[in-house]
Amino acid sequence: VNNIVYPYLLEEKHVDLSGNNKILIQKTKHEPLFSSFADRDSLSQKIILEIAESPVLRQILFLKSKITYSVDTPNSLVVTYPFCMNPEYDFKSRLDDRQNYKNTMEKLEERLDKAGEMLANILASTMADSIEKFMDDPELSRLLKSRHQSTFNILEHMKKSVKENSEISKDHASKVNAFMNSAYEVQTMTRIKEYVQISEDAHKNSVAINQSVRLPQKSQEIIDGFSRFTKHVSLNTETLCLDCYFTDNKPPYHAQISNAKTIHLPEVCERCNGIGLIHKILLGYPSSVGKMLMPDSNWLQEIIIANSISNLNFVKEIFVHKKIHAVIDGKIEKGIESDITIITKDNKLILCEVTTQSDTNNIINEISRKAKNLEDAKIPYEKMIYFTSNDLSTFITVDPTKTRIFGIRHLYEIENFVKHWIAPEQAENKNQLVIS
Amino acid sequence: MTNIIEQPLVSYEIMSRADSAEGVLFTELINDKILIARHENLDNLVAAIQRLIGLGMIEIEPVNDEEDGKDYRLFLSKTGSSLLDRPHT
Repeated sequence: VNNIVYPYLLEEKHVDLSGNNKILIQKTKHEPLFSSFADRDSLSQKIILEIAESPVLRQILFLKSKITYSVDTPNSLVVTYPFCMNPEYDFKSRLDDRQNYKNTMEKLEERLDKAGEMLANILASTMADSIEKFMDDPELSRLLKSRHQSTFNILEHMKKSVKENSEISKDHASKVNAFMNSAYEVQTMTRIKEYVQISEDAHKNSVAINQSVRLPQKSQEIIDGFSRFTKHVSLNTETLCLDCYFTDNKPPYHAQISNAKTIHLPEVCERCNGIGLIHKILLGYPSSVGKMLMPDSNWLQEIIIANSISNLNFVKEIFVHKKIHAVIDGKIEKGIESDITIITKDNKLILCEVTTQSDTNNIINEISRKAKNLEDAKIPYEKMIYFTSNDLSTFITVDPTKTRIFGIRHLYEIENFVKHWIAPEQAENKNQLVIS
Repeated sequence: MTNIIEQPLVSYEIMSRADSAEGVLFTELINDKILIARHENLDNLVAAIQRLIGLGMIEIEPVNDEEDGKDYRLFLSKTGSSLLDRPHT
């Protein structure tokens, strides 16, 4: 366990940097959320280390995903990652290019509408039948006409009559079969539609991972990563084959595995032998980690990255999610929030920003904004690193001496890429792309 | 808490599950419709926000604070508004 990473700060810290520069590191208002990471033996810390030390798992945390906040379940929060094991399977392109796929999609929408209408009709006719039967009830008519009867008495009579008059219940029961068939049809069609919708993200996630872990040949690496992880989080998978439905015109292969010890991610459909298997990987986190996953925040990813680079031999201390101030002639300047603040052994300041943004233009805009804020706050930083969800094949150096952007691919060999930027004499990988 | 007790349908749903942060948060939301969440116990507040999102009662919008990390602006959701019989903002 590494003791140089500080996600939780007990008190503010003054740091003397090279060149007679000084900074002050303070807590942000979010500090209490990081408290469980101060205990090196806590479950949350174990989970973080498990991810930080696994090249594949830390990449997965940056993939496209959806968070569901559950209520009254052991795991307060579930993150769903769409994935497919064959990066060449691009359902969206098939749908755009193939007329038979378009026709099948239209038919799916029609079937869904029709089944929905059928359900509504069954419910409406059941209600209409009940009203008709009640209206035929002479006792109810008498009660309704009477001025002295309370609503309570009328309702009591209606309830009694439903219980005693088996005609009403039998009539409703006779429609159950038709109702169930339509409900099943709605469920099946809705499920296929949902997988069509997530197929684009599944493809993008697969392409992003494939840059460092060749799929499907190296899929065992993903399986091993998840298997280590299930000690601490709940793991469920759900799989559906779009090839069954769109190529073979058959009801699709569909499988759900709950609370598994290891992950099962087949590459080929056992029903149609196609490659159209789309997986949903659902990770359920305990609340101490779940609270780090607020919408649009990257707090969990920040702690993971900090731990992943903490063994680099030029790193002295790493502070996660802190407010930093320049201190000039004893005066504390305006503060600025920094995702990861690294102090090197030669007392230089390296800043890292972590984002699950994947759009290059948005990332560049974010960098410009941050650079201006850092300049305004007079922060004496040596270099800046951006860790992003972009599927860049090579990193981008925005400013040849200051800022470098990494994508999902670089998280796999994070130490080497960071070394290459901060301490190039120690690095093995010389791959680079410079954009001034 | 008065506002919650005056709303029986919501009070059952929220109070039966609530810890104090959730109750405080929801009371403030009912009063103000929109607020930036603040609470002395941030752990409880975040759990409360996540549970209320899970129940479909609120929506949230991140607000950038360059100096001190992100804030969240909270809204009653359409479901939350209709259960409280209030216009959706």
